[in-house]
Amino acid sequence: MRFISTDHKRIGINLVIASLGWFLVGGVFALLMRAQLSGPSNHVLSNASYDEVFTMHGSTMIYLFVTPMALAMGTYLIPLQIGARGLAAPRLALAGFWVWMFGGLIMQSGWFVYSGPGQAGWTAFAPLSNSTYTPGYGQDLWTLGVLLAVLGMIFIAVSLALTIMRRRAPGMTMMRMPIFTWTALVAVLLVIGAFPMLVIAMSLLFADRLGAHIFTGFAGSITYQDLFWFFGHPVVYVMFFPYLGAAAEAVAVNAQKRWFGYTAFVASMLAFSVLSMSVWGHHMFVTDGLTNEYFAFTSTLLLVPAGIEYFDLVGTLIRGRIIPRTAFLFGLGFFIQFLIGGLTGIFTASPVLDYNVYGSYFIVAHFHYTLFAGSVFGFFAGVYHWFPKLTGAKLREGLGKVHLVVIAVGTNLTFMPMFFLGADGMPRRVANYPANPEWGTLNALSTAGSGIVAIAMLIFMANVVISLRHRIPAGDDPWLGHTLEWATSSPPPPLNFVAPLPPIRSYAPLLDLREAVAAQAERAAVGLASGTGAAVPAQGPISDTPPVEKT
Amino acid sequence: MRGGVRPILIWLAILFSSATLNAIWTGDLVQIGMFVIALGTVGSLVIGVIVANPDALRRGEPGPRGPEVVVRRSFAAFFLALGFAVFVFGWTFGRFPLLVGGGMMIAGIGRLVGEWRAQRQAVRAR
Repeated sequence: MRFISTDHKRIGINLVIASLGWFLVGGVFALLMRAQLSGPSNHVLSNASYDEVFTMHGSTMIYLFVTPMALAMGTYLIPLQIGARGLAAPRLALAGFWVWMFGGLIMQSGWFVYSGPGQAGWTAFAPLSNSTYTPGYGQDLWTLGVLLAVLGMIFIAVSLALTIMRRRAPGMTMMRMPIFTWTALVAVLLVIGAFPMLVIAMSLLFADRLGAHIFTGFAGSITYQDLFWFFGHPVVYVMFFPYLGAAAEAVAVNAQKRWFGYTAFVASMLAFSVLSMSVWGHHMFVTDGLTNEYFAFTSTLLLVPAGIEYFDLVGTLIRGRIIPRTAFLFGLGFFIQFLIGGLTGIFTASPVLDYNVYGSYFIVAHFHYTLFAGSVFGFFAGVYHWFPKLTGAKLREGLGKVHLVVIAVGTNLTFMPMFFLGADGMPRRVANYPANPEWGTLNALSTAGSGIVAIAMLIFMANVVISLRHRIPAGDDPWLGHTLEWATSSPPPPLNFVAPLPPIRSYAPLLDLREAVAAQAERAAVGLASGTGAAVPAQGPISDTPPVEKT
Repeated sequence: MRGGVRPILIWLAILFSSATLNAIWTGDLVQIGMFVIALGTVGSLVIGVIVANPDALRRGEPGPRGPEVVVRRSFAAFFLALGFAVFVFGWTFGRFPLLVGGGMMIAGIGRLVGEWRAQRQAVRAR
C-alpha cells in the first residue's frame, strides 16, 4: 500500500530512495568512464560503449537523480514547513512519481536491446540523435524515457505549487514561508515553465526518428538546441535552488541565527529564477544561430542575485553562535564549492571566452562544480539536517565529518584537474586521448579522485545503516530548528501535526517562540532583581538549551 | 485562502519583461514562442487558482482552515501512470503495448471517477 499512498511523506521518501538508487547507477557509470580515461589509450570500454556510458551517466544524474531529488525534498518538507496536512492534488504527485519512475526504467531498458542504450549525450542534439546517425531502439527508449521522466516531474511540481498557494497554515503568509520552501517554490515554477519545452522537444525528436524530418528539415537543428536549452539551463537551477535552501537552513540553524536579509533573499530568488530562464543561449554561442549579446548580458546579470545570496550567507555567519555540526559544514562546503562553479560560469557567459573553452573539459569541470561540488553538498547538508525528522534517529556526527572530509578531497581531486585539461584543450566526450604526459597525469589524478568519492559514498551508506540499526533517538527538535517541521514528532504523524501550531509571525516561528520565552525570562529576572517583577518560568515550552551531541 | 498568487504574479511580470527584452533584442520567433509557452503554463496555473479561490489575490494572512478531505491512497493514479507508460512504450514496440496501455488508461480513468465520487460523498456526508 505504501506504493499507492498519497501521503506526501511517503511519496517524498519513495522519490528519495528511487533517486538514490539511480544515483548509485549513475555513479557506477562515472567510475567506468574514469577507469577508461585513467590512461591515454585504455581499453576498458570501446568507443561505442564509452558513448553509451557517458550518455547514460549524464542522463541518469540529471533526469533521475539531482532534479527529482530536489523535488523529493520539496515533496517531503514543504507541507511540513507551511503547516499543511498534506499535498494539494496528491493523486497528481503520486501519478508524477510513477510516470517519472517508469520513464527512468524505460530509459535504462535500452541496455537490454541489441543497439545498446542512448548514445547521443544527455542533450541528444539533432541531427546526431536521429535514426540515421544513432540507429536502433536504444535511442528511441532514451527519448521516450526522458519524455516520461520530465512529464512526471512536471506533475509533481504542479502539486507542490498548488500546495504552497492553497494549503498554508493560518498566519503563514507568503513572506513568512521558510527559506527552503521559497527556494523550492521558485524551482517548481521553473519546472512548470521550462520543462514542457523538453516534452515538446522529445516528442518532435521521436517524430524525427520516425522520419518526420523536423530538425533536419524545416525547423533546423538550431531549433532543437533552442528547445532543449530552454529546458536545459533552468534545470540547472532546479538542481540548485532547493539545495541552496537546504544549505541555508542548515547554516542558519547551526549559527543559531535567523537567515540574514530574508526579504532581499526572496526578491533575489524571484529575479534569479526568471533570469535563469533567459540565459539558455549561452550554451549556443558557438552555433552563431542567435543574438549572443542578449544572452551574454542576461548571463552576466546572474551575478547580482548570486551575490545577494553570498552576502546573506556572510551576514548570517557574522556574530552567529556556530555549532559546527556536519550539516552546517556541508552547507558551508556547498557555498564555497559552488562559488568555484559560479565564478567559472562567468567565463562561459562571455562569448569570446566561451569560444575557447566550449566542448572542452573546462565545461565539464565547471558544471560538475555546480552540480556535484555544489548541489550534492547541499543535498548532504539537507540529509544530515533532516534525517532525524524523517527517521527519528540522528546520523553519527563523527562518521558524517569523515564523510565530509573524504568527499571534499575526492570531489576536488576529481574535478579540479579538469579545469587544467580543458584549458589545455582536451575535448570532452572522447574515450581516448594522445599520450601527452600532462594529460595522463591529470586524468590519473581525476580517476583517483572519483575512487575517493566512491569511498565517501560507502562511508555515508555505512553511516545510514549504523544510525538506523543502533539508533540515537533524535526527539522532535534536535537542532533547535526555526521552522514548523520541528514542531511535530519525528517522524511526523499521518496528518503532520497533532498539537496546535505555534503562532506564525515570521518565517521562523519556533525561533520566535524561544526568543519570546528568553525575553520574558530576562524581564522577570530584571524585575526580580529590582524587587518588582513576578517570577515566571525561565524555560518555555520549547527548550533554548542546545542538546548534548552524541556521536 | 488569502494570498498565495501575488509573488507568482510578480514572477510572471519579471518573466514577461525578460521576454519583451528578448523579443526586442533578438526578434526570434522560436524564442518568443518559448517564452509565450512558459508564461502560458505558469499563468494558466495561477488563473486556475484565482478562479477556484478569488481570495488568493487579496493581501493578508490565510484564515482558519475548514475541514479538508484527506486522500490516503489512490490506485487510480498509479494505474493511470502505468497505463500511460505502457502506452508510450508502445510508440517504440508496436501495437500490443499501445492497446494494453490504452486499455489500462481507460480503466484508470474509470477508477479515478470512482475515487472522486467516493470523495464527494464523504464531503456531503459531513
